Amino acid sequence: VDARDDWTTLYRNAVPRVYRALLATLRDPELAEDALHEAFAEGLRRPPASGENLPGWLFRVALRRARRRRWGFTSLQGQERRAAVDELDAVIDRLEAGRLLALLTQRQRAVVIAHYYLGLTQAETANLFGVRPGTVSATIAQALTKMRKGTTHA
Amino acid sequence: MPEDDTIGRIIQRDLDQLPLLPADRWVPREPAARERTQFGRTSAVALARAVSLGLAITVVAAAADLGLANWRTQRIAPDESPTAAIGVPGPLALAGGAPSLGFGLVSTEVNTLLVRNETTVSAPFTISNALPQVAVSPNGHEIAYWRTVPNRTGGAMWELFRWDLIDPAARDVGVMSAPAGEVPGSFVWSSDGTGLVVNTHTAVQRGPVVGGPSSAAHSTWFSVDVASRKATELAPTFESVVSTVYAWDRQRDLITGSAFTARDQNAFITLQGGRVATHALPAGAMIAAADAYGRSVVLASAKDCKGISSATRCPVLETRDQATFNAFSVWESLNEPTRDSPEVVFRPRSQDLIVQFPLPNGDARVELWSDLGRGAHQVLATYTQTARFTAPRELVLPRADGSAVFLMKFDNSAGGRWFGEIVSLSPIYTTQGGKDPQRTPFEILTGGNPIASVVLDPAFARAMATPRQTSPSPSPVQPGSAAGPDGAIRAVQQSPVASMFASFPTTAGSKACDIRGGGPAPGMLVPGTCRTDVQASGSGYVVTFTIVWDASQFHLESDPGFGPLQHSWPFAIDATGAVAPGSDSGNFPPQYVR
Repeated sequence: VDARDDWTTLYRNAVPRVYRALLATLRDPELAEDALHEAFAEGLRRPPASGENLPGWLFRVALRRARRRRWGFTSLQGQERRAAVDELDAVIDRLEAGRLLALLTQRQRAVVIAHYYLGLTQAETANLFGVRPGTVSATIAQALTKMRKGTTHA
Repeated sequence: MPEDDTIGRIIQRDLDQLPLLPADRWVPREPAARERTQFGRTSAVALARAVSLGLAITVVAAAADLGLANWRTQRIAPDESPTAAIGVPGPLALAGGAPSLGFGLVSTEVNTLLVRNETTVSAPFTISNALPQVAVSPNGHEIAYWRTVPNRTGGAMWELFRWDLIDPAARDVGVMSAPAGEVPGSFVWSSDGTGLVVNTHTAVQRGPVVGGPSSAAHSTWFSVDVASRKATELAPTFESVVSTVYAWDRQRDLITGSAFTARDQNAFITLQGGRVATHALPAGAMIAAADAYGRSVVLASAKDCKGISSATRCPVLETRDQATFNAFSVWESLNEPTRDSPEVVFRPRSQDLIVQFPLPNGDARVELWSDLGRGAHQVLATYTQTARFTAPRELVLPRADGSAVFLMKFDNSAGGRWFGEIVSLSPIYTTQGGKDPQRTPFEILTGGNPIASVVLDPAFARAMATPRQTSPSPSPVQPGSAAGPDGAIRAVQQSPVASMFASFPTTAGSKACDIRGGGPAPGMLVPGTCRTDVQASGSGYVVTFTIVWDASQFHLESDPGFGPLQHSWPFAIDATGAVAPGSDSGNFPPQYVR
């Protein structure tokens, strides 16, 4: 019981940042919300190890869930969902960061957001995504190059 | 050109401007029953909540004194035995075996649903263009139904609606649309009333020749959150099958149903925590009934009778756990053949069964089996072809609160009418001085075929929303059975509110037992002692069930780490047999672990 309450408190503290990170990565409010909920439920079942970066853990689990859901699940309310996505796109496109992140693949966006927005070190980001630090470093470098080019063209 | 740190700052600055999820949607919606329980505080509530979480106490089948000698009950090993009654609210006795102003019947008539009061012929609610099928919410006053609505191209599409029979502001509210090309299938409310699980499927297209190849049909399941109207397609879809959904227990994240595949394989399906499990039915068995709480499913089959003609077949009824498909109990008729499989419906809000046997001579017998058949078997009615019922298998429609059952037959003459009787299922409504339940002739003279019972009275609706009744208990205990301390213990153990203690000693005393606690499936198992105490209290008794275990096996941090620990649940039973839970107390028990 106590563990559940502790987890809920920690989770709630992390929600604003993680949800926005998911929005910026997935660009789909419904998917982001569902994925966040599933990460919460996963934390109830198997809490992250103590000392783990909680926003990073939630972000990783939610992204995994979102990926799985995109493959296997479909929301019925297609039109409502498209409208929500369009609305979010409009918001993101007004933001400079949104335009820059739009130049990236979803994978690159996830790494950049984990590093720059959630504040994870490259080592933590590598640990988060289960890749080598060098891969994270290369991914960030490629992403930055793309974003610089994008701003140059603009 | 922004530098690395500049890009970082831009990301930090801009992403903080993205919209934030409303705080009430930060965590998945949960039913109130899953809220944290303050240990040591209340405890009928605590018990009800713990119980509603599906936390299991090892329960052994009660020492059932079957009313019919020619039935043999086979009980399953204690470890596999039922948690079935846990999480089921228990029937209410809001009305007796007579028409009640507080309840209504939903009838179907030519694409129209009619909702009428039990006592009147007029139908205050009429729903047009609807399929002749409804799902009634656990609180009894909301129905869900499919009806056609115009689509953008001028055609029609299927949409699922809900209608609150008490709240005028929530009538004919769209919930979800059937996917293009699919038609409505079965649908059922979640056990907490916050959602619906829905099945749609493509029509099976057969070739031009009868019996020719059929195209692959598929069946899709959706979970729908009623408040947000958010429908989620559940994986997987079932190819080449017809499927049915039975229950959605949101607290346990459990959805159950069945599928009949193109290869004639009938299977029971569970979808829990995103994982699908398929259980093939035993050869010759079919699903006779499943409760809407995700607890129990009844399988019906037949086997050769013993001692009589080998050509006769005797029925077998088996109950299984919907979550695991493990067997609870098996009943075999030894020497009473039937013409067909028994028909079974669950008494609402309970784990009692209403069973109709079609007898070889054309008669039929309807019985109430308490506690999945482990308790008393009570004959409600026997029909013969020459009496009021001219056909053996007719309408068996329980009232929404579980207080009574409508037993009716259709008379096709003079424009048609449904007639029969309302039979009380509660012992507090008995005919004067006898054990026969109260029964009242009943008929519907105007059109429509009754398909469901609903609640129309706001006071009754409030009672239905109560998670567990406190008094009076409509436990199927005959008056007088609580006489004496042993009778009181048995009566409490057979009542719905304390059925999880059926495995405890049936007389005052202790025995070794395994305490099944919570935690990740299959849950912890703590060896201990189960003790039953009883003491007189006024004109009734207080029966207390206590578990004792060693702290070295399990203890909360705030409890001692060594020595015996214990937790007790008291129940009061009065002279009428009504059972009410008291406040539990003691150390934190394994059952309360999530």
